[in-house]
Amino acid sequence: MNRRVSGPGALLALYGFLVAYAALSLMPFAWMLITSFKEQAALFQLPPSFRPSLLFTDTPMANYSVIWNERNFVTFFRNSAFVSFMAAIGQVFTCALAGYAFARLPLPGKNIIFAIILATAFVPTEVTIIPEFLLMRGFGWLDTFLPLIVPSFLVGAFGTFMLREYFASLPHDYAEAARMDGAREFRIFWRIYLPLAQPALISVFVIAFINNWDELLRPLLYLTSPDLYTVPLGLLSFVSQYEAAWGQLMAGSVISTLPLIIIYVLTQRYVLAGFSGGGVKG
Amino acid sequence: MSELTLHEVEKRFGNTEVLRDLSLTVGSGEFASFVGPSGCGKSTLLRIIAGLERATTGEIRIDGRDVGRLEPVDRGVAMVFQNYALYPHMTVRQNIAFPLHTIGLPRQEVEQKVAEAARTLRLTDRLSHKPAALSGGQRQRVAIGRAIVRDPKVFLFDEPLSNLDAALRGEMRIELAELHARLGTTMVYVTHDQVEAMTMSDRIAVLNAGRIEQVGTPTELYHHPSTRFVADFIGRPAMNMLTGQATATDNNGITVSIENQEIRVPVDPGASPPKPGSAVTLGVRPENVAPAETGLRAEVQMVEYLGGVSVIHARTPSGQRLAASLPGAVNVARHAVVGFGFDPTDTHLFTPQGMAFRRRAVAAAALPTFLPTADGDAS
Ligand SMILES: Nc1ncnc2c1ncn2[C@@H]1O[C@H](COP(=O)(O)OP(=O)(O)OP(=O)(O)O)[C@@H](O)[C@H]1O
Ligand SMILES: [Mg+2]
Repeated sequence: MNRRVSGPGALLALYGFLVAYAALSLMPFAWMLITSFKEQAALFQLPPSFRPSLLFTDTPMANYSVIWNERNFVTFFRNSAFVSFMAAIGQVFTCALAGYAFARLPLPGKNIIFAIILATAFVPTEVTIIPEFLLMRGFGWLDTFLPLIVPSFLVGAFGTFMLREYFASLPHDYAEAARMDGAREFRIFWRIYLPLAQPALISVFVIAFINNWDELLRPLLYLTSPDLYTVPLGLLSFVSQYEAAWGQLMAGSVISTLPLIIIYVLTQRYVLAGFSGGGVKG
Repeated sequence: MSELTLHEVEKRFGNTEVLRDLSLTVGSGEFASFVGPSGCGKSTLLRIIAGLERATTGEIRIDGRDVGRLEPVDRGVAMVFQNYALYPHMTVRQNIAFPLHTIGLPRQEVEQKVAEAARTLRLTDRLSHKPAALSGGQRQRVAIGRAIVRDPKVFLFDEPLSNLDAALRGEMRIELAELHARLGTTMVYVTHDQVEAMTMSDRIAVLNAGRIEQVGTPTELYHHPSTRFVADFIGRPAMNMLTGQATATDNNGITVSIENQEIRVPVDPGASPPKPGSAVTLGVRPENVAPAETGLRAEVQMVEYLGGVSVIHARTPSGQRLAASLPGAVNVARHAVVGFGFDPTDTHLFTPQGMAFRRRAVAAAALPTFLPTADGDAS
């Protein structure tokens, strides 16, 4: 990516394009934000208005206070945070172990095993979800968080791939030095390569966290008690149960997006470093 | 105090033979160096001694015990890597403490040992820095620190100075020699730099293409190289190699003709003296060549002025290179044709296969001797 854009004209065109693209991608978010500040009556106005009408009344946060105080939203939020955190931890831990093994251990046939793991990424969820459901029911795990957490402890193709690449990019010399220092394989992994892979671990964590935070299908399938609902499931309930409280739904969506934005802002330095791989200094 | 023995060590990677029939004993407390050009198998040998690599055949013994199948840590060896391999996410303290924590030493003892090593290596005020915040010389010392805290029986060094600048290299040479004197541990040092080997070692093994070419003290290698390779490798500027023919042989030496000059070289002709007319190579070190009225005539190509000495590079009429190293500055013009002479007792003679004839009386070098001062304080 070393190609330079030359000339002020080309630069202007490039920036113009990027600004337009950014505006287009931000549109849904802007619409969500505006809608969360509208009263129910203003929602279906035609032509649609960009005016957040609630802001001009004496209860500007009406939708937010309803979901925060009257609905179970705090519980949904806590459930989502717990499930997503546990699942992300599971991914980081098991993908780190698998990635390290694939990158650094002399395992016979490891490339074939790795290819098989990668191939699972290409099997659509729709194909596996029914047997998965039957399995979970067999374990008696329905209406618990376990079906949302435990599978993440069983390695994921993406995380394994990413961490394998990262571990492979780290110098081999540390392992030899550590062997000279008397460390066995697990200690070398745990005390040396795992800390060094921090940027990649953080990116795997963030991506797994976001994926689980956004997940609707599995909570919908496995959770029945409203006390266990995650945020996406809770938001869905606003639509079905209360005949589409769009304003509240959007307020809930805004709140549920915030943690992701915060996490991303805090970790983007690592996430980018994790994706670019290596970048190891001596 | 430990003795290290290599017995007929061989190493092959697939079909490439990297080490061949390597046998050597490094005495207890000895500082032994392996020198040789890049790719001759030095690192491989060190890694085999360390236990990071298995020898294809042969034995490694430490204090008489065969350690060929032991893990590095069980051999009691410590190694300083060429690029130091310091753990970048750990502080200096954690780096040095790592091997001690690994063997499960109590915290208090660890701290004591780290403090001691830091004092020895002048790192006390750097203990909480990360390696990235250290200078090259300090990183080097941390790597040594990580090696000495374990009190190993044998230290291995793989070109530890090659990443340092020239001035620091000189300093570290002295520090390493002092460290060896203080610890008295057996050390095996690998380098492609003959100066490092000459200055620090008790004994040097010259490696060439995976084979030991010659083993000896620095003075032995300098005065009695057994092959042309060793003669060329040891000493800088490199030994002059002049080709010519043998003209006569008697019990006291071989007479050779170089550039139409007859020179009688006092060497032992051995069991198979060269036939008259057969090719030989005469070697003479630049520091033994001086301007002379008679002698070889050669055209001056270039003069390197190094301060303490000047090296004149010249070329004989038949195109052979001749260098002379002279003290101080010299006053000679480029392209001047001047005479160069040397004492035949300072010369070496090699067969076309590069084997040296054993030299006879080597002119007893006038070694300057330092006498202790009257009160016995030599400092
Ligand atoms: N794992 C390996 N597989 C195949 N060949 C190897 C391996 N390790 C080393 N070699 C070969 O063995 C030879 C000696 O390598 P080695 O690293 O020991 O050289 P060296 O003397 O240390 O060189 P340098 O001074 O450049 O460090 C080289 O030709 C190298 O290509
Ligand atoms: Mg090497």
